[in-house]
Amino acid sequence: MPEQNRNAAEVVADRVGMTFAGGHVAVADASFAIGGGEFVAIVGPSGCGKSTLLRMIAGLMAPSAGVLRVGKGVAAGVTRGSGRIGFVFQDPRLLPWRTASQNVALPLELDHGPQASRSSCVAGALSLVGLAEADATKTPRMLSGGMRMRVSLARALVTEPEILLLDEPFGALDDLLRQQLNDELERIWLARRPTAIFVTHNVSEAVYLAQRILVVTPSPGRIANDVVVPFEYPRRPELKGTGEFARQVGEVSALLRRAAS
Amino acid sequence: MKIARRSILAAVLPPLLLFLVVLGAWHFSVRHWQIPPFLLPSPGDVGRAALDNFAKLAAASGITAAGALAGFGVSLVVGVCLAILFSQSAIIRRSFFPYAIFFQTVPIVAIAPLIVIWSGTGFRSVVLVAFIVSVFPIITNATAGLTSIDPDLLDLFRLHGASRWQTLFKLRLPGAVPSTVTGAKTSSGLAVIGAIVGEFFVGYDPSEQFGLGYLIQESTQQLKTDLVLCAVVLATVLGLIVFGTVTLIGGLVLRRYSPGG
Repeated sequence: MPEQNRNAAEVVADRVGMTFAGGHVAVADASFAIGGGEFVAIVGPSGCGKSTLLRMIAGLMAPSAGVLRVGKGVAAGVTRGSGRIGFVFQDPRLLPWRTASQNVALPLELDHGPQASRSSCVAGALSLVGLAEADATKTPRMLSGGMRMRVSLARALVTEPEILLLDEPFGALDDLLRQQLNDELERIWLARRPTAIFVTHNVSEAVYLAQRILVVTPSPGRIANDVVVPFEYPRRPELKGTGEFARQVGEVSALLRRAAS
Repeated sequence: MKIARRSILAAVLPPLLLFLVVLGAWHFSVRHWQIPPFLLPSPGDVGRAALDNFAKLAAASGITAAGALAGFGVSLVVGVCLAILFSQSAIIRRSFFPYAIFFQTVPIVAIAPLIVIWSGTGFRSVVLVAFIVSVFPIITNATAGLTSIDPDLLDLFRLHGASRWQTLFKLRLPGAVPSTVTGAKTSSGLAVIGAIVGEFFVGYDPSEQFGLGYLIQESTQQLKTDLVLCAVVLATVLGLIVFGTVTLIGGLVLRRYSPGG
């Protein structure tokens, strides 16, 4: 198991809840801690508040109850050290009027990062996700679905985030592409070691990628189980053929079924 | 290539034949029932009038085109500026929108006397009428485009601490281009109608060259029905050219700004 990364963000949630204006309780009483550089998957049925939880961690909405702290050293008591965040949406969500590399450069422009290092950061992020140089000058409509997702991933990585939040990022892709990108994601995580929180409803994907899996119950979303996945990194596609993998997937699926009932 | 040429022929030939049939029937009817030319001149009369008054018709078409394009241009600039203002605050939007609708629904003929009082007669007033008639689709479409931005993209901008101006210039304005183009197409057609209607009611200034609208009015009074028909055809052609040009330019712009399939 890889060690923790002190330069990555930690997440500490203490009885976090989110009740929307209409009275709908999306998340209730969620308590968990995620260490720096950990890869954690959040699985649960649709509409269980997984995305709301992720948005709260991103700081896009404030919890209506409890305390949620994100940043370097928050586990040791630093109040809020909100660091650099990378967010990957379910769809690539690229700006159609910008080329791939201009899309990747966007967060740097918005953050007013130093102009000089921008192009090298962009080139670094693009090569990290395996996008050919020739494709960097293409606009999203000239790229395939998988390529767009890679650009989207590069955009999230370009600021060298301390925490990478992924909201069902490969859900819309076909299975082969999805497996390919899962392997890429694992490689990138091992290379950069940000804290990664991966929301999905695909149990096999969660078991393949994560060190830990948080199983969430639907309406209101509560953390029902915190499962440790014992496999070593780097994980290989062959792992999916083993009985141990199938057993782990079966176990999490059973927890998910129990949580949903 | 051969197939393409054949399909063009298939598209052009039937309406062309119908046109010739109608022209023939028209010519025959005028001859057969000896319809007086002030009531309905023959196609030949109309053609002759067009040749005899070529300079006059060309000058009038030019003036009308200039009035329509100026009105459309002002609509585009003012409409987009108002839409930007509306997009920045819901309160501004709610206070101004009823008046924008009022502006749209008041019959231009009813306020023509006011325009004459305030702005006099002549080219400037024609542009004013073309503007009033054509600005509304730009305002509504551009406002809709500016305010209906993908919430995920707004979140992305928020995540990276984008300012209001960065969000406006890097996201809202480029994102609003497709719907603004749609508004511009409608608006360009209306601007031509507005220019001709304007020339009817507020367009005559003895010191200026007059447009097609005034030419239609003047020729009607002089019972020069052949010239009226020439002007009507030219007004239609002008409308088609302006609409076609805006559609063509809009298509080129859309290719860059709309998400690809």
